Amino acid sequence: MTAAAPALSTVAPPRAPSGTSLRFATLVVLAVSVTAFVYAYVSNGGFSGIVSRSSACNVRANLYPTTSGVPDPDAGKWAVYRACVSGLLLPTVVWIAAGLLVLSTVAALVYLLSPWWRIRRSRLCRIEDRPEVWEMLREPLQDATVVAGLRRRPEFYLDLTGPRAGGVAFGTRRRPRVCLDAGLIALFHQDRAGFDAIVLHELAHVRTGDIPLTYLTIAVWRACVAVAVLPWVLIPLLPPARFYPKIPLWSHFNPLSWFNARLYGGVLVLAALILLVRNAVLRSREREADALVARWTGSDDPYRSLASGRPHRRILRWIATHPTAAARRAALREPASLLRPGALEAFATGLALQVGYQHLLSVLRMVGWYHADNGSFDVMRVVWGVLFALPVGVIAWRGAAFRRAGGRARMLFAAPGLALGAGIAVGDLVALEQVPVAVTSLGVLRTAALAFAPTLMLLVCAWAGRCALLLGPHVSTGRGLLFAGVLGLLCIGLFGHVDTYASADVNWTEVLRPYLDHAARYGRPVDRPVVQAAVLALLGNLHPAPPVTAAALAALWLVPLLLAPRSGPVVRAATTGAGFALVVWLAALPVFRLLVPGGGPERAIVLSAWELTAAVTAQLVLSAVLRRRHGWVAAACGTWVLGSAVTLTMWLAHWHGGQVDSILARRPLQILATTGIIAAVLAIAVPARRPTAERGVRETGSGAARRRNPLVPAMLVLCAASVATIVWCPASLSGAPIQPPPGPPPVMDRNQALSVWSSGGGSSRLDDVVWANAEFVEAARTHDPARVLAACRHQLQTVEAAAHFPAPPVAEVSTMLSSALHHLTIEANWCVRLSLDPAGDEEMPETFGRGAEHLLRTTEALFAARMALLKGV
Amino acid sequence: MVTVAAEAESGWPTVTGTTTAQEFVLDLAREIVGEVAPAELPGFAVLGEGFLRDPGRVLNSRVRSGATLGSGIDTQILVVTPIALAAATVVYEHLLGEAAGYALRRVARAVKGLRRAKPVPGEITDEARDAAVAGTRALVREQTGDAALADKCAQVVHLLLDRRR
Repeated sequence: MTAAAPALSTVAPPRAPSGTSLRFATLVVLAVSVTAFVYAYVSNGGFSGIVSRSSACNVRANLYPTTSGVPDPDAGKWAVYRACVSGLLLPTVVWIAAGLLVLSTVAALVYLLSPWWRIRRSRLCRIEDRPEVWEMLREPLQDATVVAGLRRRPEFYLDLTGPRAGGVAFGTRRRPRVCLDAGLIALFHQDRAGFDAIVLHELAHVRTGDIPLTYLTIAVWRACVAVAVLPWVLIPLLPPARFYPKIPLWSHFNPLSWFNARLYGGVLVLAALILLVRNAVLRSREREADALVARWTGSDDPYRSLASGRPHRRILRWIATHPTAAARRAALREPASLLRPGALEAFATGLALQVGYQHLLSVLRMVGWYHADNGSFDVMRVVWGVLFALPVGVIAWRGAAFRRAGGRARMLFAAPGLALGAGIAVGDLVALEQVPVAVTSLGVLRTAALAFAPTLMLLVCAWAGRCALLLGPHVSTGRGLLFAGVLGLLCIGLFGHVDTYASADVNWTEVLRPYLDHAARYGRPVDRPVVQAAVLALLGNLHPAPPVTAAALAALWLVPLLLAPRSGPVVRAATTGAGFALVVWLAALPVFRLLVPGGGPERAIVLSAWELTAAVTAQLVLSAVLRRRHGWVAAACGTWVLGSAVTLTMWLAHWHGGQVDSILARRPLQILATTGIIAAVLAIAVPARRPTAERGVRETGSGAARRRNPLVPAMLVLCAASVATIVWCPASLSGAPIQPPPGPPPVMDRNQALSVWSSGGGSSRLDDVVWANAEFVEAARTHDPARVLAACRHQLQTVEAAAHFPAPPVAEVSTMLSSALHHLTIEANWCVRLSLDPAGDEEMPETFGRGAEHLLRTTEALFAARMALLKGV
Repeated sequence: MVTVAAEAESGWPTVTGTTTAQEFVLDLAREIVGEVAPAELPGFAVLGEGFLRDPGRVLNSRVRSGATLGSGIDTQILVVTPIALAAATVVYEHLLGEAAGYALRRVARAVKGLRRAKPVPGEITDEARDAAVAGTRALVREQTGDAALADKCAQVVHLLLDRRR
């Protein structure tokens, strides 16, 4: 072995999860979720099948869409609907299980058979079978195996047709194989160091377990394409699953159709994403292998002599399976760069997790478990929070390890955070469930909420990264585990209401807007915006458990304080500042009482709104001052302390007869916790002076001696007590209400309701009647009494079946259909009697033909409703 | 003026189990490589065997570039050997009067034809030699675009055929 002394081999990188793990997990999540979703839909007959079955349950439960988008409040109807939908549970679950079984089987087959196929396709031969070659290479290969630290030598193969200086590692975990090109035999004599570097590179793949990971990645990708993507593309083309079976097949490929664009575009985007993630896995393994070769050979460019100097094909670096030469050299020069969390991998992770989560929700909804009455919403909120806490934690961990290894980069945590949030927003839009949803129906507020997600995730990642830096090497200890728990709480608290994004616009128009309109009744014109703002701040957080949000917000400043080696000065500055601000706020209270006229509950709510406004103003000023002098943590801590003090003071000021006299004074901290953090975030724009106290928080736990400060545990107790004030707060039974009086029940949407009735079985019943009528006309032309009799009896049966089906939900259409069925029954009965007794003299009913006429009008009304909906889309 | 080198050093791997026609092509190609790029001789026997098995893959230099878990270094070491093998095949065909073109696909088909029991060229006439030399020059130029290499290979073939007469 000619390798030099391993000068770099002693430089072990800090422990951190590999970027490959994140990418591989992303790939698996995407593949599994796409497969589960596709098979759930296949089991229900595609989109049209889902619509039909759901609509049939709607019709059975008499549950129809409303004009406002607010669900029908009748719990009885929902119970019938869910009981009906739950019938889909077993077949859907079986289909999903079968789909996942096929996916895993195909992936396993591809993985296990690929070595055999490679050997056969490339006609590889074992080196041992070539005694003359084996004699020459046995010792060098044995030496390389020892250098690579492998207990067992892998099987070496020879590619007789490869003129290049290349090799490839393949096989399975239990039976790794390395193939060397014929060109390497020549290189062995010309450039031994180059030969060793290539062989060691392949052995590095064996050493790091890349073979199972990489070939599983490829196998999962291929299995997903074969098992899920292709069926998804082909299923809509099959007649039973097509929306409009009478439409020619070629029209399904019309790229101008929004539905087609989403149907095929969505799946292509997901397939492309899976491919990109797959290639990212492969590239990252190459860099890791290069780093090992550098450590083993002691050279920072072990392939120097092999540089071809020829220009390479210009493949986008995201698509290529190997990193560019420049990227390899950079990674070899600075191995710490392998630890740096990448923005692209974060984007792909966010997108994959969000798509996977949406598909999971969709599947759970299809099997009837995900609905508002069984706590499933809360469970899935926690699932979502934990799901996204994982990549945030990995980004923080890897970034901190990168920094500790000497790496320097701008926006180390912020860039991947922004990318993760962007991935979430995009994933929400490209999920296959969203295919039938048009862009125009997204709504302004939902779009705004999706655009806000990246910013919020940026802040969370930047915060988590900073805490990971403070944790230092303790990140993999119990303290790190505790931090991971806090991260989960943070994600649940800040993103737990993500499911309400989908209905943000309905929430605004149907919930918040009526509250604000009602609040506008209190006080003078100058008071109204203040009261409305306070009500909006109280209700604006749509999280179902506001204390969780408050606890998460408290963790934002409490965790850095607990981790910092010297946080005493920060706490002192924050409490002192909050004390001054409280005094100023207290001085304003008499002024408000002087200026706000009137009395009773209305005056109390106006007063409390002004007091909260003054407290928010004090928070803004306080956070700016503290941020400039003592840093961000001091600013956030100070606003919290002020909020807690204001809460207690407002309770005292508004205490009346064993309760507070204003509903706004019940949970002031619920508002002030949020506004305090917003004020602290805004204060980031204020340039800091980098005082001593802030440096104390910035130092890493590894380098600085920790000094226990009694104020920090006191802050912990304060946080717990403050959050408790949101849970256990005084009542306000006599306060002025902010809840508007109940309005009229939601109005049924005529067109949507008729469309649901049609697709839920009404249309097929009508079609039966129409066809039976046509059959009767045809039979009458033949003058064959037997055939006429059969046609009339068939018509009677179809009319009877249609009469038993629930009536259309719109009165005029229902009346029209009822009349049609009535007349058709009379006509069919007359026809039967006449056919049985041709000599009879019974007169034709006077209204003969009216049934068909009314039937036509009913059909026209249904068609008009559907056309109106399509035009709306 | 290029001179024919002595026989290649012994001790390097040799190809066994071949037909006489294949041996003719391999011997001629080995001599070309020994003269034009002697550094490639250690890998010749292995690639020569691969050439007889699957000439298309040897002649197509893009095969296996950037394979999964490959090194991705993408440096071609045996540059002359594949073209020398192709040139030797063309020379063989010229000597038998069967030459039909210089496209790689055509050459690959000719190599597969060598598996059958075909004759070894007998007496080499001036016309046959000149045609083989011209064919070698045309093939190398067409496949590599390197006029100097083409001339060098042609001269080597000329000398080697003269020596066999």
